[in-house]
Amino acid sequence: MSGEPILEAEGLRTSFFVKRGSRKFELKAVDDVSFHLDRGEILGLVGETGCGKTTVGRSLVGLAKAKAGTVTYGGENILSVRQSRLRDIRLKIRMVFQDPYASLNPRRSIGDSIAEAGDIHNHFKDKADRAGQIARALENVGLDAAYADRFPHELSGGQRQRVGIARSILPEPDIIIADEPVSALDVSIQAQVLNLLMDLRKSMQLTILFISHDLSVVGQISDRIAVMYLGRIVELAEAGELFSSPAHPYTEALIAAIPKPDPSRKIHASLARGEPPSRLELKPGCTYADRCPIRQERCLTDAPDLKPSAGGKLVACHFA
Amino acid sequence: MVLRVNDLSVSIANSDPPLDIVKGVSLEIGEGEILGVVGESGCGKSMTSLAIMGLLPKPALAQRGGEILLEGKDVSDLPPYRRIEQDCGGISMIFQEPMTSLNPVMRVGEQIMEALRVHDAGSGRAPEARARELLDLVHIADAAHQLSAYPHELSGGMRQRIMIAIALACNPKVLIADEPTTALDVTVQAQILSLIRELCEELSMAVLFITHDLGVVAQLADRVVVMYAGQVAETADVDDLFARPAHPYTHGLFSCLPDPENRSGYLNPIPGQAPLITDIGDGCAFAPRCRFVTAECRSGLLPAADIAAGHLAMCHHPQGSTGPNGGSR
Amino acid sequence: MQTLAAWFAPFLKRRLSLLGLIILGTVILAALFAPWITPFDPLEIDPINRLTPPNSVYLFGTDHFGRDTFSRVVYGARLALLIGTGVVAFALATGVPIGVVSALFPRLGLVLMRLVDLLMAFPALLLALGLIVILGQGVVNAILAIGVVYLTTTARITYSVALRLKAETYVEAGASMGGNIWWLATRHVIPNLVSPLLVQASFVFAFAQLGAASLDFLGLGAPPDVPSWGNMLAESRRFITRAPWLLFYPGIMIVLTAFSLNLVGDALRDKLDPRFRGELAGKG
Repeated sequence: MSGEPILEAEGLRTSFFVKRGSRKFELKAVDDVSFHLDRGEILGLVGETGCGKTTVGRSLVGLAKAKAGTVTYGGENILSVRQSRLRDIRLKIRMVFQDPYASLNPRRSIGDSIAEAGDIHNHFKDKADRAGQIARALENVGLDAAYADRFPHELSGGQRQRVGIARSILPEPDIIIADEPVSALDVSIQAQVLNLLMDLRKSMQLTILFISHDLSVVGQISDRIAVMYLGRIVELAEAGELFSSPAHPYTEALIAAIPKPDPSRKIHASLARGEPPSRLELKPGCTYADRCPIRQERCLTDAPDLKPSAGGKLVACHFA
Repeated sequence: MVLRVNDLSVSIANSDPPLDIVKGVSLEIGEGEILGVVGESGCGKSMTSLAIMGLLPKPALAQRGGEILLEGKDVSDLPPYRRIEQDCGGISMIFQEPMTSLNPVMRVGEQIMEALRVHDAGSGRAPEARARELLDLVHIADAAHQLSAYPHELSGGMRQRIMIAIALACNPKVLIADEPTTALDVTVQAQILSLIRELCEELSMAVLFITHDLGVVAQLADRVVVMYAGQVAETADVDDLFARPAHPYTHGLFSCLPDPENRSGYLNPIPGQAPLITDIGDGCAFAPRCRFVTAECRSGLLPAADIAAGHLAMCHHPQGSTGPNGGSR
Repeated sequence: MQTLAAWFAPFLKRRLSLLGLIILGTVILAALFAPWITPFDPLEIDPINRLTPPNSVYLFGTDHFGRDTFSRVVYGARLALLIGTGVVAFALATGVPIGVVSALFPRLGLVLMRLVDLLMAFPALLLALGLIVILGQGVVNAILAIGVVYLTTTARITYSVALRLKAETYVEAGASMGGNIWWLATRHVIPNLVSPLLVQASFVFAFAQLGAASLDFLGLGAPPDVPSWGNMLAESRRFITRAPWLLFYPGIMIVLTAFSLNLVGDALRDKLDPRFRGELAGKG
């Protein structure tokens, strides 16, 4: 499935500043994140709340401002490129949003919402061309072309999410950042939408960054998976490898915590002790140290880098 | 059986003919048992639990028929606070979003003690002592410090533990948990689930656990009720349900679960989508999406097919094939 | 292509709104056709028939100069509508851009909103009076003065709604696709402002009547001979016990016009919201 790298993120850092009382804290949402996307692959980006996965996605489409690092696409660093080039790039790297109920303007027809990118960039030759492309986009996502004249409130959650996907493929992009695209959907609809994404990946040669907190879903659809914790990638591996031999203790805990639909395999205790610390005041050393079952002295002072490990994986742990 | 619900229906008030969003639901839970109610959004599981608790949004919805028997006594006509305060131990409830269920401008310790005072459930002791006892039960260390915190200062898992502590204040016989872990991270969810199981055993409560997550059901429940479009589709012991799902809907649900350990590519979704309540006609609500549908499915009453001891499926064509983790045909 | 019937549907289904529409329509028609439906010249003085109670000749009675109250009320509708429209137009034309710009450009917004706050700190009538003192008396200046008063609330409402809209996911989606501020403002923010602004407009129209009436009452708005409901109220003061009809008719017209505008505004708001089209339209 993978070709050559199409996008390369290096040392990405994005922070938000939060005021608590009179003090100002730096919330390091993304703290030195590096990864690459191969053409045609689905890279899963997984982690729990606050790990920074959504911020990584938003930094790639310009919704969050990275404070450091580079993102190389098409031979240039899109984080520091000219405004005029940026507009073209926005057509090629698109986002699908999580909430199907909030991501469509309730006052605009489905067709108008789908054609928005095209309208912004004057992509359509004329009205007929526009209508034709909208119809094709709808068909590509499994909806009847007649939906173009309807409004969001007439559609179900699953249908709206399909519309969100249709919006992201018109005009055809290179990369789709899917930010929790199925998290708000029922299991049976989830399956439909996941199948749709896999279909589109094949038919349009798309590359997808699939962001989710649900490891089972990510595991099902991704070729490679990056696990994030508190702003850092702690493990990056082929999907199969990640599940069969997780290297980082957090990955192990995450996999172990997934409730399996099998009553004979009960999870007894969480392998991760306690809960994640406050993101505002991170201690030095490994961010996972205070919850890690195998932590040692060194972990409290020395933050591990993401380094190659056995089986072609990348792991950020002193003892993986 | 501590809690028995017979033929419960919830309908839109003043609708004629009655528009039921929950239709003819029956279930029962024994002491120390966890009953999982599983289904997708709109299946009526939350409404059923609200009806049991007496919290249906009036005047829009109302219970229409059926009985809710707590230790044999029908509580359908009692307001919620009376259902909590039953002498034999009442019904208590925890919800999905602890952030909205807790008062943001009140310290959590105060909220626990408010529950104790309002229901006069100090059982003789000072509320502070009882509050600390409750925090102990839900494994919150450092009680003094946590009691003085505001909800937004605590993590999601902590807030949910506080919610559970408040629910336990009146020594309930039945605990209804409506998707309590859905909003939590998976590592924290594991902790809360094991806490609920522990409390169920320790306090001999009957727990009604509502979720859309089949994995959670497998972890926690002793018995399971699967709901679809406002009705019960299937009831079974958890092992039996996962080994031999009979109802085509249950079957369909299992087949579309992502399984990272068997990464076979495409999933097998159930085609179509759940019907609006106004579109449910006669016969089986699942008929339009069912692979095994025949003419008799589309009208008339559904039989309660007996699959095995304690295993019922409301279907003309219960399937006897394998579940997600094997089992014989 | 919506038929006329479809356009009127929200009004027909909600009886109150229909009532509002009828009243408003009557007022508008009265204003338009004033010369043809009034039996007397509103300025004509007839001292012999002063202070006549309402009868078959003088439908609403006469005032202390013998002028026909009915004719004056009808002509007063013209001024009422003129002032209402003028104030709403001014408040929207100034308040909405201030609110939208403040929301979309936060740093500029901080300054602009403080200026609006400054204006709002003045009691409405005082502010209007102060402006009249600067601008001078007259209908146009009355419109400007009252307009300034209501530009503040319009700006505030626009600002808070636009702020909320800015954070909506569909606006972010537009931004992620390369939409610039202008695109986001015109395609997403402003269309979704229509609903709250319509309600605001009907309020302002109604309050403008009252504001104008107050200014006229104080002799600072329309010149005293021009028939306006406010002027008429002012003049009726001396004759309340002897000729209550001089108070009643202009007063009731102010109330009815304001009321009908609110009703119509509600229906218009629903009509413009796609969620309320179709079967859901008209429930209430």
